[in-house]
Amino acid sequence: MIKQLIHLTVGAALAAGMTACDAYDLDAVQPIDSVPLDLAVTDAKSAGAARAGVYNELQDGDLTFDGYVASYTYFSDDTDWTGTFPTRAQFDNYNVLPSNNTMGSMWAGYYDVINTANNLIQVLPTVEDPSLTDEVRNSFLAEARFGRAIAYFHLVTGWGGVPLITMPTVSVGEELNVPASSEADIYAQVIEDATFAANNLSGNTLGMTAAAANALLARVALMQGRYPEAGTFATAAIGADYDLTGVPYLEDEIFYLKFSSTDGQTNAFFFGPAALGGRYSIAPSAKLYNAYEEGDARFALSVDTLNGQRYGLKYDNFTGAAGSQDDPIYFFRAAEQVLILAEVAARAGDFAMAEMWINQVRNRAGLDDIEDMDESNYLDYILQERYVELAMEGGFRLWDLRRTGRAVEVLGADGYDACDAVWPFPQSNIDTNTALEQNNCCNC
Amino acid sequence: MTGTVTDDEGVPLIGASVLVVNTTTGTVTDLDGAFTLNVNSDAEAIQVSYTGFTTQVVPLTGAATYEIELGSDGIGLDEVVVVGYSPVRRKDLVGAVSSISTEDVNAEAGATVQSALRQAAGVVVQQSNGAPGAGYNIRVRGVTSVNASNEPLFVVDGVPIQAGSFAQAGVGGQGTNALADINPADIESMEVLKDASTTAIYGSRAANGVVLITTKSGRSGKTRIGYNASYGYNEVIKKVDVVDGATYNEYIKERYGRSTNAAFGLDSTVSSSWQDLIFDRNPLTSHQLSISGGDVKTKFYGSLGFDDNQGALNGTRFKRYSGRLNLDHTASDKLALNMNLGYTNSNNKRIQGDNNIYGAVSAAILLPPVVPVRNEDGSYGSFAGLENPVAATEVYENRALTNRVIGNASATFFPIEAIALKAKLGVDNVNFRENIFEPSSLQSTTQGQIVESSNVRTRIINEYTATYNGNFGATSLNSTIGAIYQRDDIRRNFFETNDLPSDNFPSADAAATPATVAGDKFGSTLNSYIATVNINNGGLYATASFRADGSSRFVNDKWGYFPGVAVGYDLAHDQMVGPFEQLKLRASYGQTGNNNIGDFATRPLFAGGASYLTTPGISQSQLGNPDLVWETTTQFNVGLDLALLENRIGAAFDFYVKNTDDLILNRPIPSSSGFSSVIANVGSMRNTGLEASLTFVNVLKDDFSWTTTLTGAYNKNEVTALYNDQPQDFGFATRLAVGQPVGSFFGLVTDGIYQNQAEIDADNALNTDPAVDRDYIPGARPGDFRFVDQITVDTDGDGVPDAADGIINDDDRTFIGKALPDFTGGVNNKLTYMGLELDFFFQFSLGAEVYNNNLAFAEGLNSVFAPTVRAYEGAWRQEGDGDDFPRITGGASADNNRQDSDRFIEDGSFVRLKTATLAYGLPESLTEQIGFDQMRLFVRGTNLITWSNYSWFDPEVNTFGDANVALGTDFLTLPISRTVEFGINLGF
Repeated sequence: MIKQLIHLTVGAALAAGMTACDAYDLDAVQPIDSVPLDLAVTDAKSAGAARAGVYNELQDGDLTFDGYVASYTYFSDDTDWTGTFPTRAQFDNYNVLPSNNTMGSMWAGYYDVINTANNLIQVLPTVEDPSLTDEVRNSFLAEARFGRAIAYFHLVTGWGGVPLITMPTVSVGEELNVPASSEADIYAQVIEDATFAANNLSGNTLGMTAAAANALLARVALMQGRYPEAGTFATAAIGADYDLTGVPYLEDEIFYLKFSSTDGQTNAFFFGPAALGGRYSIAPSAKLYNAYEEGDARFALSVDTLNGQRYGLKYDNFTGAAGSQDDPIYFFRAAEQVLILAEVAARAGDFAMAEMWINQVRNRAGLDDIEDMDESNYLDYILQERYVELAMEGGFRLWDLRRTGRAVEVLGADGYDACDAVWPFPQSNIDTNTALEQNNCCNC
Repeated sequence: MTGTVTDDEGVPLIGASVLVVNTTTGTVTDLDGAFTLNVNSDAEAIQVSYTGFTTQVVPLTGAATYEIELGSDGIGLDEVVVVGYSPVRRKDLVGAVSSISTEDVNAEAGATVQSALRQAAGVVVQQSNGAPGAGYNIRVRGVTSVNASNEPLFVVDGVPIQAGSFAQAGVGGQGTNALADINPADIESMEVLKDASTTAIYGSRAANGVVLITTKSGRSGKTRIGYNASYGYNEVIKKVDVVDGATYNEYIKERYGRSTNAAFGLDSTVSSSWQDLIFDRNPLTSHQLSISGGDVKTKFYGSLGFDDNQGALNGTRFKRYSGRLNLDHTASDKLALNMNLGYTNSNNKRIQGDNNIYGAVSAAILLPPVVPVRNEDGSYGSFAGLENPVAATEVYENRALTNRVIGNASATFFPIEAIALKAKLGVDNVNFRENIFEPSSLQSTTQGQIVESSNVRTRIINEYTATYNGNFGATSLNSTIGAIYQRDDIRRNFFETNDLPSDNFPSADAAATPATVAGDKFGSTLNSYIATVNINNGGLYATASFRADGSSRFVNDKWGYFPGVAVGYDLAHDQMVGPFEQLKLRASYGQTGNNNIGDFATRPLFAGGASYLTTPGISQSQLGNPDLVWETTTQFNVGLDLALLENRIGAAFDFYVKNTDDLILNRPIPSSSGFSSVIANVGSMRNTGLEASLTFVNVLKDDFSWTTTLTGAYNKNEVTALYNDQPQDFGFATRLAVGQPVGSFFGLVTDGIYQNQAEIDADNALNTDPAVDRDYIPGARPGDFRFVDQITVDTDGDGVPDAADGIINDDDRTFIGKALPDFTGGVNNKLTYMGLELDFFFQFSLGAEVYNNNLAFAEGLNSVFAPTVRAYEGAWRQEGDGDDFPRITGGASADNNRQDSDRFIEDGSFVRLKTATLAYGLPESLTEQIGFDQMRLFVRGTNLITWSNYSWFDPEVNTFGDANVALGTDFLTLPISRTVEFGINLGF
């Protein structure tokens, strides 16, 4: 009996010891939901998934509200901060400190997009798969590069010249210490990427189009004062014979970043007044609210009041729970291109053409034609129209005031100084990136 | 000669060892406690010993029969403590070990493995919030890590078990407590291994100390049945005084210039006392049944337990069914078999926690009192997206369900008496599920939501050891070598689905819109080889141990080696030195590791799940670091153990220095890389400390005894190196920086409140740099806080700042507090008089600070959130109004006032009457008549009184749950409860 037990014990121990060789091996357990880089993008399907990853990074929670909308609009007379987070208040107060976490998160969010795009741009040319034709491959590449262009565009308009990174991050040595490039170099990268996108985006993208790439090129050309080119790109984006008047407001999409209830965002939560279940962290400024002319159909589609508080309607899925709201981010609308064409024409002295374009926007909003545009007033008309047309959709107002040299004049009373042309680089990047010197922002 | 051995109650002791002094002749007692021994005529005495009792030397008088009664040992020097892979008598220990008895483990209401650790010197125990089943922060001798875990290794009957939180759904800062699956009623004793000589044998997981848990085992002889029951209630320690509806209306008028009705359409005659609606006296009950007994060959212990603990916060509840069967069988003198098996089923009903607008406590503080509990249409009232606190406790359904088996079976073969070959199989199998139903009546969902998750974790451990025990003259030697193979497999899934047809369909089937579907698989393997030697010669003790660990978590360098040595010498080993029965000096040195990082944290990875709408997406998820290795902690410890006055006073003193190198740190990298950090071995940390543990048996008489135990510990933590010595920020205002302790708070320093414009103008004149067109504090008005402009500018070029820059900005932040206490400890008194027993335990923690973020919100005076009474009444309104609270305002000024500053730092020191128990044991004469061996009635209180200057609920909180670095932060966190219970212990 005892002998048997001993045999049993020894046998069991031996058996366990044998299994130990395999199941207990130090390489026995490997991840399944994450894979090493060399296994990630191997064929057309996984390349397509990596391309979706770029859109997904664009949807990042640090970007959808603070990145694309709140920070740039607080930092102008577009919106006011009505919330509780002090880091957001700093944007409204034109007093952004390098330690501002909201600012740091936006910065990181844009560079997440860039790194994700860089990874795909790096690996795509090496993927061997017969079904990955040159057209498909170049279209995927174009989506990655357009995503990167959108990210760099937001970076350059927020911080000016920033580190220009076009290779994926694979190691963490000295190569991470990248100095800031000039603002011009960043714009050059945006233009190069958008140009590639305009030439290669095909029919099977997840929403990006050649028209959108041209729209970005037009926007950049406008900001850089290359007006004839801006006109060329805007025409390429919407066509020379475009007519906006038949397209309902906000439905003139060129490229929107889309959301669904299962892949949602939080902007309506932040815009919504408390009585509608919102956090009410942002509101249209009094100036914006009063900027709409009598009878402007956009007024009721853009702003409202409840219990005496102004609130914005551009993101109005107030019934959706925070994080599952499906309002789009209005990256590129035809109306912006129409107004670019108006401005380009006016700057060239063709006020009749400029009136034709601006009146498309005004007529759609139910407003009368402008018939007295001239050298002295064209910019006021166009900036006013852009102000109300594009309100709360992004940094348009801030960009307009800066590119026309009016920022200090218009916003100075609220605290905007000449040095507010850029936000400070995040302190965390100053601390870790030995090649990065703080820019010349107001708090730097 | 013959004899019997009994305990002090006359119960026979079976298996007590009887040895003729100075010989190897001996025997053990039988089932009746009797023994027979043939002794030579020259034998002078016999030595009788039994675990847990004082060894007695009985002089032989020539009588034929001896009745020997063993007394329990005053301060426990002869108790056997389990250390590493072998048991040691406490008096032979040369390491630093704290032991906790079963009584002390179970001293508090809703006891857990962690709460018991309060009794050990040098262990800081912080419950992160007051919900039953909530997690703890345990720090043995300070903090050793930043990004790997700081929790000690928990070992149940030799099986290192899985700890932490298995929850995947977030409810704010708090996690679940995997160690709540162990029923404390089954614990015989706990040992906390603190120095490196005792922990090194646990190698790569032991840097934070090791807690050994031994469950109860049977004793031969009479079958004993025990039944313990208790019933009591939990209640909240205190409430925070928030304004009522009418006062809120006044506040809103001051803030927004309009009444609540005009501003928000809220009726100012409503006044909901939210805290009164969510806190109640809620019951807790416990029933514990145990059976133990056995004969010479087989001993058993079995138990069934039921605990039901409803927290003071309505809706929180932790229910646990547990069972245990422990068997020991001596098949022959060559083979011993052992099995310990524990099963737990628990149901933890959770609610949304702190730092969360849907949290019950958060909303109960912040939600304006003018919001009605229910609107006229019957729906819950709410405002500004905040959850209705009553809804948060009534209709939010979140259950964390655990089924868990922890067990082991072993066979020990003795080829010769001195050698034991042991094979042991250990299992820890956790089946953890979360079922969450959020009906549409909540703010967090409009259409109803179901979240379910599962987390199935299996740990298998194979352990093979060979032990040699021998005596060479006066030298005894004990040595063990072994090999241990461990494998963990973890499979998880998680889904969230929305859009239920109505709140009557709380099931995933019924939901229309799946939102998140996730699943993953983790795992790790650990291969280990161990060797230990213990040598004892007279008063000289020496141990050496060594462990080699190979872990799958590391890529290029999988193996780590952990040595430990200790020596001790008892000056009083053969004769008393002065009054001392023991006067033992000891010293130890060793290395331990920390591999508590994610299973695949070292690998560069691409992850799925990066979808855009319905298109699957992948993106680079982790940079990884294939060169990562363990954190290594090197500890030096010297100690002194004393026993004097016939073991009536015992004391242990320890001094240690613990250096942790190769810190596993998520070292920050420029976020322009697409990542903010990479895991790396950089940095070092040092903990230096003193510990004292003193036991006084003040009175020891038949009908009256009084024992006092004092523990005290001082620990100083300092970060000694980081990557390029760059600071890192955590939590709200926590900064990790070289030269500072972990958990330091960083922010501006306040200097009162501006009483008038002249003070502001004076400050604005300080900045004389024409290039900087900024006010001292932009937007400051009278009634706003003034901050101190620190010396940050070097005007004379000597590299040392010597002037201030005249503006308040990031440069002016400095270290303003720390979350870790300096001194911790307790005083435990146990008195017995006749059948009466009185135990009370005071716990103290001194020198910690709390970052009270509530001040920025509930007392921010800037928003629609309801202010506290003291903030509203104390608000600055005119010159001379004091410096406590700023003026009521929004916008930039409010932002200035709410910046991270020393305003939010409060003294977190406290002394707490943690537990007090009054019990009465009926005299035997009475219990025997009604057929019981024992009947004891008791009343017990937990967290009865707290002395503290802390202004909010309780200083012992952390909104960041079991975070490593972001400690001591209070943000609307549920405080611990006060508990009163009545109970009975019956023995048959």
